[in-house]
Amino acid sequence: MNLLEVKNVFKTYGSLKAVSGVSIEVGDGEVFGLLGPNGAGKSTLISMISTLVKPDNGEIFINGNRVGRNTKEAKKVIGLVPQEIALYPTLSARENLNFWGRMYGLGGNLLTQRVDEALEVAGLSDRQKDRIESFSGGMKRRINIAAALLHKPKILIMDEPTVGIDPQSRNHILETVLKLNKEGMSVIYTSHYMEEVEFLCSRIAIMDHGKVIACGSKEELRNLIGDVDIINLDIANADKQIEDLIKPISGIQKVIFDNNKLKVYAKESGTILARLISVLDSAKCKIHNINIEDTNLESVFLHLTGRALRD
Amino acid sequence: MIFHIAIKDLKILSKDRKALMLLLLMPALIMLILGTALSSYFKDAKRIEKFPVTIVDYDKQKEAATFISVLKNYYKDTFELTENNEKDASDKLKTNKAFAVIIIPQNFTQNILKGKNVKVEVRSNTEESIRSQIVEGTVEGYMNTLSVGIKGYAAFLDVFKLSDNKEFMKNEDAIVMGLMQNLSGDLVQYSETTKKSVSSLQYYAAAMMVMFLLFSSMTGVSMMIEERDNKTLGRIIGAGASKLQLIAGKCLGLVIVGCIQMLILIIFTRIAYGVDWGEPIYGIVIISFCSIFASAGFGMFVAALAKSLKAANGMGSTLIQVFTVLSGGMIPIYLLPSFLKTLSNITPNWQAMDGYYKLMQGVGISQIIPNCIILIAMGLIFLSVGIKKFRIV
Ligand SMILES: Nc1ncnc2c1ncn2[C@@H]1O[C@H](COP(=O)(O)OP(=O)(O)O)[C@@H](O)[C@H]1O
Ligand SMILES: [Mg+2]
Repeated sequence: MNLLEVKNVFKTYGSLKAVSGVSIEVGDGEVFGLLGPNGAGKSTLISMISTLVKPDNGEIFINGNRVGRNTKEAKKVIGLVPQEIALYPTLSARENLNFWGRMYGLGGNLLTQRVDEALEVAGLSDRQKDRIESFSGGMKRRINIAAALLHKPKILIMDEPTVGIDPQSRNHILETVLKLNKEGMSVIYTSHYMEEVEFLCSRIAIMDHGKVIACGSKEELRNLIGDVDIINLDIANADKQIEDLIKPISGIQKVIFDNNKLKVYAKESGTILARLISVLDSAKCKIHNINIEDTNLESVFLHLTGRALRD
Repeated sequence: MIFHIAIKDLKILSKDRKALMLLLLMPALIMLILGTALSSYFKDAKRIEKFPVTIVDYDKQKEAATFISVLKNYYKDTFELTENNEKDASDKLKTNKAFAVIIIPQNFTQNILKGKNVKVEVRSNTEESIRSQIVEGTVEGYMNTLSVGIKGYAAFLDVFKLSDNKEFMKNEDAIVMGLMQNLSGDLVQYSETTKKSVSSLQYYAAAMMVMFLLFSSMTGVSMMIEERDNKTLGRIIGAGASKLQLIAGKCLGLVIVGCIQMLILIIFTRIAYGVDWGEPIYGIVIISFCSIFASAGFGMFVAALAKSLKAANGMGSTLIQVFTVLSGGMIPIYLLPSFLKTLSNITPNWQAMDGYYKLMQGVGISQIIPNCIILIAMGLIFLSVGIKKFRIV
């Protein structure tokens, strides 16, 4: 049995389907990515996995323990890093970690040792006596993660652990995830940053509107689009109708025009480019910039939903 | 786990100067201000002095006589009672020789026995509003009791007339008197001579302390809701604690704060005002503990029902003020209309205050057992609603 199995899980808030029929599996030793825009239902799914929210329907198994039946056993396996900085701002880093260690049932020398290790992982041993409120966003995030490691969980669930931090802390966190994974910890990494998920994860589920719209390895996801490039153009003097002018060009799969930016998905972009420019020219559009990129998760999402992942 | 949650809360509180001031210094400060402001009125800070009240009796029959005798016997520590005709009474009122005039109308007895509504007029000296309120309250209370008594008595009489009991008919007057005295016993429970009387300062010290205790439970409510918003509550549950353990831990923290607060207040009022909290001391400890438990439960109840911090504060302070007024924390309870008196019994404040008064009156520890049981029961009910309704995320 997989370390984590989510089977056809639903959760509605009023009339809003926050999570609607999601099934995922995460194996031992994997770094599993959960990618989706804000409001996709990632945190709701995470809350159900970490036993805080009860699904309306469906089953979740963690290390063979069914959530709702063997919840206590299931909890022991999980280390949750919430999307929010769930720490006590007026307590010091060490006091916070001590408290969370107690909550995981640790005590005595073992607690001291684990707190030391966690501070080490966070790279904040020298600041352990300072209050959390005196920390930068990145330092808070690092302690937020450290607090989930104290009981050495089998599976670390991270909900947008890099929101609102400096690049240095972000790199530190990404390195930490890889290091922990190398030591054998499985990780579920939730983010709406495509680059992070692409960098870290071996398998990825893309979520939108409460549903998993695609799931697989990076290769598998890229293949969804096929052998397609993306041509990005910055143009002026254009309106939405430009899409209809461009679409008929043969070889073009998809056109998205938004805010003077034109995205064109096409096979064999080299041969299409000339045709594209001439159409834009005759429509009196000014072209400021053109670049051609390889497919990535961003373009997979765009391809599947017609919307950009971010913003 | 429970213990560590409580300790964590205390640690956070101990670093929060504002909360500390609010919890520990403010009550003492407000009592200080209140004590100073009230002490001129409470002359010697002991009890309301006896004051002159005069009665004009236009009825001169049995029920009027009963009423006057109740006033004379049971309120002899409060009223200096004289009887006058209406003109003399008005003169006395004007010259401040009487602070209030009670006027018993004609046909008082007849109308009462017919079950009609009877109004006893109280005229008062406007400069003595608190004292005249006491007179008005007393009269109203008596009349309320009387009307209940008369109805009960009428029913009683009917039954006995049907049973044709001659012996009873002969003793009718004695029975009425006895019944009335029993009923009015309620009214005068704080001034009966067999018990030590409770001074106004003692009364307010107890009332204020109970109110502050409830208010301090609101600090616990804020902490709870803040923690829900910060997602630390979810994290505690996620780490392995059950909801029951979480709330028990929160409650334990509140109980410890409540104990410290009460200790400070009792010692402070004792030293600064010589307030006698009664005896035995372990009785004070027990009733305090039960009050603290009820108030901690109350906090969890409010935290569970309120959707936001703002709503919790609004709901909490409204409830506390209603409780305080109902329980006589603002004006003495015997001035309240009788239906409110019944309501007041179901407030934690009244149960706690009643317990303290009993100890102050020195009636013995066994008398406070019902109060303790009710307080603990209230705490448990509040808590179970709290545990059931509280949302972690
Ligand atoms: N407790 C809640 N009550 C009502 N709506 C909620 C609640 N939690 C989440 N939602 C809604 O569910 C949807 C999914 O939210 P969330 O799971 O937080 O998305 P994500 O983490 O992917 O940004 C959003 O529209 C959000 O507003
Ligand atoms: Mg989220």
